[in-house]
Amino acid sequence: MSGSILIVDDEKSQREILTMILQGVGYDTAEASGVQEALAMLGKREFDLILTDLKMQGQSGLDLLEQVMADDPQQCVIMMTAHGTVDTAVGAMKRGAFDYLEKPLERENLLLTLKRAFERITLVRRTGCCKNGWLRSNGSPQSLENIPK
Amino acid sequence: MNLNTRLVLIMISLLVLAVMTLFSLNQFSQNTLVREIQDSSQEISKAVQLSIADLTSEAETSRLTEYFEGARQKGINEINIINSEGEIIDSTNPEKIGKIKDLKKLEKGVRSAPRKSEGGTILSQKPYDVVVPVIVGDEHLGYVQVNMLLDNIQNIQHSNFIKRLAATAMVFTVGIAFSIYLSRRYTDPIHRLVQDFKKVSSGDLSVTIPVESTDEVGELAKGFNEMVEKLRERETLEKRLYEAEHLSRVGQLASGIAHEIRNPLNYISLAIDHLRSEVVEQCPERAGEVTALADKIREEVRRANYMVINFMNYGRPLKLRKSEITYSELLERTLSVLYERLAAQQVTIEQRISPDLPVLLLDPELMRNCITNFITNAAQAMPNGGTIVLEGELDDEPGWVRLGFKDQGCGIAVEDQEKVFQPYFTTKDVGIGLGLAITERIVKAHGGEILVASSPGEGTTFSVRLPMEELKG
Repeated sequence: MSGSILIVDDEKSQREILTMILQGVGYDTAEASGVQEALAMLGKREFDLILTDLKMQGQSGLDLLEQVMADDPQQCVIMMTAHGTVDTAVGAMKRGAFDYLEKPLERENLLLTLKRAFERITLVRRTGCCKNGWLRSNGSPQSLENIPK
Repeated sequence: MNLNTRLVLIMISLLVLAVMTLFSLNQFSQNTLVREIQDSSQEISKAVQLSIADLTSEAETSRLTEYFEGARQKGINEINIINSEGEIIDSTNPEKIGKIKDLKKLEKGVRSAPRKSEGGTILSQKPYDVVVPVIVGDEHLGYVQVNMLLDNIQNIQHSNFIKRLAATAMVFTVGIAFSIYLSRRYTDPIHRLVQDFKKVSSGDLSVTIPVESTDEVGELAKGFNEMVEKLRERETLEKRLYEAEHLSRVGQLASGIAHEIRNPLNYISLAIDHLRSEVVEQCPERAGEVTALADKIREEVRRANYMVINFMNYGRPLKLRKSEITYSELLERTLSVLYERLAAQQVTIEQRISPDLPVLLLDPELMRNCITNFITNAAQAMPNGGTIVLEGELDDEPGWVRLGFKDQGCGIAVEDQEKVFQPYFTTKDVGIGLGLAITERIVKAHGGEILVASSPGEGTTFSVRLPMEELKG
């Protein structure tokens, strides 16, 4: 698996286990403990996908989602929450989240969701590239972050 | 008609009755008295006439004696004919003939005679003397003394008095009877009212008094009913408010608990999956053992998570997202995550779904929650395993479907059967008693109801009745 993921959760243990699993399957990950830290990191570099908790100390995952979407509507964001209600799920999807996961997560389910997300990212970028006249020589991106948006 | 008017009317009627009775009695006795006086006067004049004829006639006649026999009945007691010297020359009482009367006394005319025992007079009788001087030209011939009894008049007066007394007593008896009847009629409903007031004050608000009259008591009953109705409304409102507050508190608690429990569960779940994948990769020879262990841990995580879901569902307002689904499909979705655990408990599931059961329109997620609760409870009631029968059929009542959950467990004691839907009520050593409370809320939100049939030792059947018109999209 390849691709870069920013993990946002205010609990260190949650970030650690996610990092362990995702790095274990080959993703490039980074951790942020809150919305501000995440935004600061996004300012420095790009991530293919943001995996964020919904309810955190200070600003919530929905705040992060809104700000990220305002900057880049194509950014793929997956929400996680321990307070799973259908309303918050619908709210998150409406704001532009790719998917919504309810804690406790299961590894297979998480990896499947990420796989689907990366497939879509690839698809979106390809069509975006075509529209903009960008086409790589081999036609398929090796590393997603090298593809201009 | 109010009490006041009735009482005044009764008093007026009594007064009119009394006046009329006394008036007619008075008229009657007055007539009798007048007649009696007329009769007496006639008798006196006749006696006097005969006596004068006797006195002035030279011939000896027995007319006085003959007349006297008839006159005695009319109150004439004695007739004496007295000459100018005061000597009784003739009398209806032969003993008196020849006796001398005091002339001065005779001059006085009518007077009450001294009571005498002789002459056939009765002790109680009051004799009166009427003395008439007989004067022809200048010659004073003598006197006629008529001794008469006024008993007839007295009798009339007496009987009149008795009649008046009786009439007055009767009128008052009628009045008293009326008053008693009226007061009974008024106090009986008041007594009933007092009983009902006591019931209400002890907290029973199901009391409704029948309004039988339009008077004060009727008004009171009406006012009382309105008051109880308002109290009922208020109680319902308070109950709802309490429920809402309670749910809101539970909701807050659930939210906090969800965060505090599901985050650690998340860590456990992901960590165990990660460990399993690592171990399976690095030590394939122990893969089976580790996988089995990991599955068990994951199952426990699911169970804990499931409790949190129940708790959260209980504490939040229900919003139904209905979609069409067959009961078999709904059961399949629900059972797929339960089979493993049920198999471990040696519990088997038997489905008896009637082919005429229509497609259901309901919230599949919430209904899954309900079915899981029923099956989990049923399995827990059979610690040594058994069969859970899942039924789905058209209800006997048209327009309803019935979903049955029958176990062969220990059953529910009769006194507990009503309580099983109360939040935090549990007969088990485990659990917090929210499963059936949330299940009932979900079923009620669908317009349905849950019935319990249980005999201790033989098993329990929960029946969910759902209206079909609600189900048809």
